[in-house]
Amino acid sequence: MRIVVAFKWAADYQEASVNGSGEVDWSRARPVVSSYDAVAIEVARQIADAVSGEVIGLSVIGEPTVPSMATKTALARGLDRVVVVADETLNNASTTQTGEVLSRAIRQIGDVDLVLAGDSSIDVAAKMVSSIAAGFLGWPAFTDVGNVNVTHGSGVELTRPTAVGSETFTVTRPTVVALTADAVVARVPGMKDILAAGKKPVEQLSLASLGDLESVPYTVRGTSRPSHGARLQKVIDATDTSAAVKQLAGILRDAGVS
Amino acid sequence: MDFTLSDVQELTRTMVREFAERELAPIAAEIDQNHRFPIETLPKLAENNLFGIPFPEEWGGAGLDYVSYAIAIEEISRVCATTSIIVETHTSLALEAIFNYGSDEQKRDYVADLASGRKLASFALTEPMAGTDAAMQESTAILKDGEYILNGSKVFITDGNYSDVFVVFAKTNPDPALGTRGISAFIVEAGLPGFTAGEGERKMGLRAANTSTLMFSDVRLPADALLGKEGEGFKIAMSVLDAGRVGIAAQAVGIAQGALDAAVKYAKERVQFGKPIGNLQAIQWMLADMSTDLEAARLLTYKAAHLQDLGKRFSVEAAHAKLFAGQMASRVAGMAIQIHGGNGFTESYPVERAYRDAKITEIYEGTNEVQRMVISRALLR
Ligand SMILES: Cc1cc2nc3c(=O)[nH]c(=O)nc-3n(C[C@H](O)[C@H](O)[C@H](O)COP(=O)(O)OP(=O)(O)OC[C@H]3O[C@@H](n4cnc5c(N)ncnc54)[C@H](O)[C@@H]3O)c2cc1C
Repeated sequence: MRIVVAFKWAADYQEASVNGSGEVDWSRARPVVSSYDAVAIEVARQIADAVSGEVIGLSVIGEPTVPSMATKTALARGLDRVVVVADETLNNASTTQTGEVLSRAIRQIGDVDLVLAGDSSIDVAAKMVSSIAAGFLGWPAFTDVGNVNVTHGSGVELTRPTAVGSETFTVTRPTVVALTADAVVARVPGMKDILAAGKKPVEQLSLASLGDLESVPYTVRGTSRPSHGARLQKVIDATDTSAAVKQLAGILRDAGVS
Repeated sequence: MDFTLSDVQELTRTMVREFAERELAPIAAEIDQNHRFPIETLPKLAENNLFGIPFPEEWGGAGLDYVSYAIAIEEISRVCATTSIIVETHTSLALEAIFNYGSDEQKRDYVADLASGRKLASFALTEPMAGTDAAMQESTAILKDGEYILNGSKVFITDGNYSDVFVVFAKTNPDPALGTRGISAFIVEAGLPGFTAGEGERKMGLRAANTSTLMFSDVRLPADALLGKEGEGFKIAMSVLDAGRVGIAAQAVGIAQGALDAAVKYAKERVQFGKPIGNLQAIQWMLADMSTDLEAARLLTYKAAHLQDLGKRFSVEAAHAKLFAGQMASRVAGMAIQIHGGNGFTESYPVERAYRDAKITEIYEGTNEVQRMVISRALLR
């Protein structure tokens, strides 16, 4: 079984800050493998280990060369090899463009049975890229998936929560799955994984080799931070827990929280 | 000159930080307050290959360089200094001694088990009458009928109650005329008849670390327990202590980084006079001094580790790093408490633990005074 994990090398939001005018300052935020994608890598690794499959990382990077830390960090987390589409023109690519580039690269890799991704990226959080990639591929897409089970010959079983419980699908053809952040706990790579990562294959695909794209870039016109009201300055005495909870609920209701 | 860390070194920092935050941070305060040895952490450290970082992969190590090892010690110490001393004594002292001075057979018997963390190792040099003056060993190991008979005692031995393997120093020839050349090193396994360990000390800092006495009463060691040659023990001890000093410098850097991180966070959150105290110049200057002090210590530490990687002499550089980093950690942790005000003096915040833990880095593996002796001797040679 060949599994592709789409991962994003993105600025760590924990190191971003918001300035007074509401703009997010990413300048000091170092790039990391999106923590949601680390979950996808872990799920892929567990499946591949169970069915002797292969896990290929796939990333679209808006830089002319592949940052070695991007591939090594992802490889250390359990990928067998990495394919990267790196091109300056993809800097600030739209979600549609990214999804399309991923779909082309997945076709190029060939014989892919399953594509896994995090539900969201840590910086943009559009929650769309995996579905868009599936659309371009003409494959089914599932989001919000908490559990993936693969048994030899019988396809892929996916479970995701619904408003009233959960639903389980069995998919018998190539599919794209976006996983919830808590689908599994991604293991922390060991020191031996660090050296091993440097020895695994990394392949760079040129954007040109993927053919002309249909999607067009977009521009972000502006960002603002959500407005928040003045502090209520209320202190609740929690000696009696149930009374305190009632009081808190009352304050929230009065403040218009429903 | 290149101050950029390699990908491997950067990755080591990322991965060990993630490990420390996930596995060590949740228990660090509790084990300290209860003086509880974190036995449950040992298999986790082993699983992440943290017990043999700078040793070759074919010997069960992770095959990384000494700078990466220093970074790993730093990141562990940033969260839990107790855990870092377990890794440090095992790696920099015990394993380093066996790897560098062991026969092929001894290496085969011990290195893979130790580097993989299947077994834990200690380094037993200090005695009641032989602290800084390590040459004053009173323990003896006398060769008789093809066996060494070990007698004596050791004090302050890290992991004494938990280790499987001990590198023990003793006099094989008590003739005073021989001096340090009468001292030899041995690999001693726990559980040998006549070998017992006393209860762990209750300590001011590193409270969860196990530090105990060892007693040897007619312990019979096979002749092949001798590490290196007879009379080489003191040389072995001094050479591995160089490596150890880089490890302790890294520990001090990590403790200080943890204290600085906590102080920065607190300075942003604590409001006095209507604004976060981080807006006050008095606090800003303290933070700036702490950061400068810390960065200088880190560079000295990485420089010593880098020389170690190059296979060059690094005794003086290790002494520079340990002397400066140990004192720096005490200063930085002290200032972190100052920035925390009264809260800093309570167990509700991590900086009082950093302050208590920092002090030992000025004492063990050669006190500040010993480091000054090493440095000044080289200057005046
Ligand atoms: C938590 C902990 C863990 C330890 N772990 C280990 C371990 O795993 N293995 C091990 O073998 N040991 C270990 N030790 C022992 C440690 O290395 C010694 O405590 C240290 O070397 C100092 O020796 P001492 O305590 O006997 O002090 P002393 O040698 O009695 O020193 C007392 C003071 O006199 C100063 N002094 C002594 N001689 C001189 C001199 N010539 N010139 C100037 N000043 C001098 C010292 O610097 C110090 O300030 C540990 C100690 C502690 C507290």
